[in-house]
Amino acid sequence: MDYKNKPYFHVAHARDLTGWNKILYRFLEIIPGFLAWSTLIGVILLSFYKPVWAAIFIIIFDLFWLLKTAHLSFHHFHNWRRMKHNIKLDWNKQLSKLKYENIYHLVLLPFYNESEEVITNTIDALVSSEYDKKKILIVLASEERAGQEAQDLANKLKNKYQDIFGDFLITTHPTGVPGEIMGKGPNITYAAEEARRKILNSRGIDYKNVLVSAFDIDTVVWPKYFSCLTWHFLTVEDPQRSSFQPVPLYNNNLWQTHAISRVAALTSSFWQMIQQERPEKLVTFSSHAIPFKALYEVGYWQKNMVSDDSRIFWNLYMANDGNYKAVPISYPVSMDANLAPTVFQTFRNIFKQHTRWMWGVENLPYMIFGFIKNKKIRLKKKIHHTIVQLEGFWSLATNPIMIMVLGWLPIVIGGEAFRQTVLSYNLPHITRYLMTIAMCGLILSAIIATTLVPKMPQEYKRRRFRWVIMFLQWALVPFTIIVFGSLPGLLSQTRLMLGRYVGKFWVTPKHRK
Amino acid sequence: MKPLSKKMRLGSGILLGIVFVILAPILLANSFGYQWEKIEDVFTFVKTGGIYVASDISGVQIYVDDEYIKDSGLFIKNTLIQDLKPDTTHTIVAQKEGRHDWRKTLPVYESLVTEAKLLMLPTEIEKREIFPFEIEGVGTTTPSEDAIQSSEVDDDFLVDGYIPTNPLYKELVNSFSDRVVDVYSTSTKVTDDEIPTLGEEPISTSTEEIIPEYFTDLGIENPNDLENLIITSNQISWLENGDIKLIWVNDEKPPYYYCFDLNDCETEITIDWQDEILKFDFLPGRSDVFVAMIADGIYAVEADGRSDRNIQPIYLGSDLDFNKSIRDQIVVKDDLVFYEMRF
Repeated sequence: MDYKNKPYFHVAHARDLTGWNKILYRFLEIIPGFLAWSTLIGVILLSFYKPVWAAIFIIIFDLFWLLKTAHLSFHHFHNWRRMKHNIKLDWNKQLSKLKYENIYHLVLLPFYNESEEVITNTIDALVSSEYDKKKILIVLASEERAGQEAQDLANKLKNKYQDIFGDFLITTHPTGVPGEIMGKGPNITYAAEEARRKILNSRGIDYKNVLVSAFDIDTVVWPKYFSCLTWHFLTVEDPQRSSFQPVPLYNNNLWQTHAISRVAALTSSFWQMIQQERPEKLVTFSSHAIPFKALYEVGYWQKNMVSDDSRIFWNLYMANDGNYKAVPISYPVSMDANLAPTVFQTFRNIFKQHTRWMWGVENLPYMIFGFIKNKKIRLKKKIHHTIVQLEGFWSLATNPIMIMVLGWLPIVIGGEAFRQTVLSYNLPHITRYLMTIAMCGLILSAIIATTLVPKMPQEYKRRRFRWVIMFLQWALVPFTIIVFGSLPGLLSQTRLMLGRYVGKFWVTPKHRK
Repeated sequence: MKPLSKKMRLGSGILLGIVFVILAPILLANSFGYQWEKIEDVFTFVKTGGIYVASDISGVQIYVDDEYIKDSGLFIKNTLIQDLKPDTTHTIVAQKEGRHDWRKTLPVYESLVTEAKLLMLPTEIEKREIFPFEIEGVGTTTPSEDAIQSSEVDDDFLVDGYIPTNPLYKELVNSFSDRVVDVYSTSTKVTDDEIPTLGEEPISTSTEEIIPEYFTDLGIENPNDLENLIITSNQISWLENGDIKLIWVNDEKPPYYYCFDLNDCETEITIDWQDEILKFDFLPGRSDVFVAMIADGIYAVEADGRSDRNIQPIYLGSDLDFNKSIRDQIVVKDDLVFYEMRF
């Protein structure tokens, strides 16, 4: 029996299983939170009982972190250069050497109650695309629970744009379907199936020739996105077993939002840029593209869990017995940074959004469970992915706290005998030196960020100091990586550990000034 | 443009791995105080110690055995002197223009840091006179328009027959007087015979006051008998035969200035001056420095007796008195004038 036909293929959490499978899955759910808390509590206990050991660990860990930062900055810098190159490249000219006329792009635009301005911006960018618009099939995926107002808006937009694209379908995902959470996954799955029946089947389009771009509603494509994507699809080895990941740049509204929001948003973008240079670690995230045939074969996105964007990669990976990959295309799509009417609401929304992202840890037990169950996947791949994913979630939740906060702990709670040692006096000095050097990576980030900032709106032209703030804001990173990195990560892992599953997809409000 | 090749990435990883393998032991050895040193033509690792000089003053020049080491920073004012040979003593001198020098000879122990804290008062301490009245924002001894005459207040506390209007001045007059009630209270006039002095005030009134255990341990039955008794959270101090007694009363290990050797920490320090100390208090913000008044003036003196104590003048003169104001500043009373000393 193929793995995709197994009863646990679309499992969301341990509660969906029975017997030993449930016990095993529950155990796997506990692992990330247990590792994170063990580490943090371990460092505290070590600082209290064995402050010398703790100090040795902290110094070695600080050095490791510095060198890791250097390693990642190397990847980041290269990807920035590659992305700039890809933005300038004439992808249509590249495509002209290939047979691409039969390739269609099915664009899914799920929305709930976002404003007309947000959706229009997204569709206008699609209109500006330098790709044959008749090969772009739009699906505006609305929600029944959003009411008549959303339907009216969808119809209005259809009337405005339908003649431009190859097709323009409005779907309305019904409310209250058993087994579904309220979220993006069920909506785009419904929309994809509707598009299959009403567009692909009716027009006789071969599924193999369709690429699905699953976007967030604020995703603004750059002009050559579809050309770039098509080129990668046509040139990659085994295209039907590949997902395609652009760089999500959260820069649509950088000038309008707050410094902390900018730093949090760009840090997320930068992490994705680093991952683009490490394809063996890459998993689909946010806006991504998947061959329709592969998507159809696994039953689209899961409808019973929150982090559907990453889960679909693991669904496809398991279904293809490990012969599936995410291909980085190093071409950007722009999205909104968090912005709300007040500063507090903005910060709250960033925290909630990042907590939702970090809830991606729910894929970890699914992945390891799949590795245990699917004997056809090579052991080397299983070990590699397990280590990469475990280390990723562990380091995200714990490392910034260890570096910024716990580094001083042996001095504070290590006792008077330790406090008088040369080691105790050197610990803060060495930590400070290493972190200061590591912060040099922030200068690189600040420089790269300035090249990714959209053109300054006219109303800000007189406020030249905004450029200064745009540079100095990177000093906030030690704060943002703890508050919007570690804490949401720790919260999500703790919830999973305790079996308090997130049952609703929190939709990030899209506010425009 | 191609993505980073596996070869490049591996190369970067290996290079940084090598850096890690080389740097980690060096950093750790350095952190533990090890130093690479040539002894009898052989290079070897030797353990060292250090001296930590705490300071709240920036730009202080630090010398070790007459050799200039560094200036204390603008933000990081403390100085850590490292790589000192253990089982030796070193004389630390701190200098800054406009301030008294500080000098201390301290021992160094293997893998440990010897602590000390600077005492560097300005050579010319700024003093601000506290006036009884204020006219148009300027302090004065001339009664202001809102000053009132009173027959209910003792003449000794009036200025030209008027009640002072400056609250700080009034507070100081009260603090320097022997009386426990407000001398400017006009509700009831208390005769001198009826005013209890601080010395006569009983420890307990209606309920029996519990005497802390550490007094019992010290064989002191009635702490109220102690002259100039000052009790802080971890220390008690009083005057005894013209000397200051300072006792550590916490169960934890006492701070560095009680420790005269590596494993020899006392719990009692005696400031045995050749002149009789008439009155003392702690220097504001310090638990290791006293303000001591002797016959010819008021001085700051360290509790730290590991080598000669640094003693620096605050106010010179005779027939002085001093107190701490509500703003935790030292106020000197010279004749009938109050001066707030600003360090």
